[in-house]
Amino acid sequence: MTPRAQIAVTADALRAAVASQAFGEAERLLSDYCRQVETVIRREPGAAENTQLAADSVSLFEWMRRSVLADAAHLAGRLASIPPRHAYRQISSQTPSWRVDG
Amino acid sequence: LPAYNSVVDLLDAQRGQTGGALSGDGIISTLSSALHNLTSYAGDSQSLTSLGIIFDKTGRLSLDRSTFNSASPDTVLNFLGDNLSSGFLKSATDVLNSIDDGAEGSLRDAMASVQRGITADDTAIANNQDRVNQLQDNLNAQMAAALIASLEQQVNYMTSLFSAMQTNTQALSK
Repeated sequence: MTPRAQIAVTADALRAAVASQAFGEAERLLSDYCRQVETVIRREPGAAENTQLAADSVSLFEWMRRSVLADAAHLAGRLASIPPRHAYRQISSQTPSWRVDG
Repeated sequence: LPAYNSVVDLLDAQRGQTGGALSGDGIISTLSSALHNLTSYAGDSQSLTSLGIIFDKTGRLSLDRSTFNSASPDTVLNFLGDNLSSGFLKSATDVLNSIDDGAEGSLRDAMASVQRGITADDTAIANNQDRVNQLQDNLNAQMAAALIASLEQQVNYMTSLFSAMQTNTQALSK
């Protein structure tokens, strides 16, 4: 597989990871993707395909940013809707039996 | 006798470290006690043993045919009695009713107790599942934040790389 084909494969895997909210995996794939893009650009600095590669990369980054921010907002909303745990505590209605009125 | 011994086998299977689901449940000792009451009936100086029905060391019953055959039919009938007024059958009916009475029997109480346990377990499972879901959401939110931070960093680096690439390309084309 050529380095550029490998970049396309990693990009697909990265999109799948983000779409399935596998954020840890996405972070690892993002690192792989950037390293692969950088290697290709440094190895072939004048290649005509590099402009398209840069545009694809920027497009992928923008899509990732929008998707992850939307997911994070959704998760934050779900977490905010959970009542605090102390709300489950039962408050005793019994009057302390040791109280002395005098 | 085989039916009685089968019940003893079933109860034994619920005892000890390798016992079944009812191991340690009070209903096992209640039923064992009921079986004991059933077989220890004695009336008019007659007992199961005197009629040839004897216990072995494991609590199971067996029949001594010669003793049984030597008992007169009247003695046997007198011992058995009937299920309403007197005799072994009356005692046995009372014992079984105490276990299997629809409203107050031991089995009904035991089943209600097990059902309460199941309900409590279901509630605990549901609560724990909510907690697991909450922890999962929390973890996902943290990982999303980490991914955003990593993305910002990588975008900055890659943008510089692309700018440098563009500058070099323009310089080469002049």
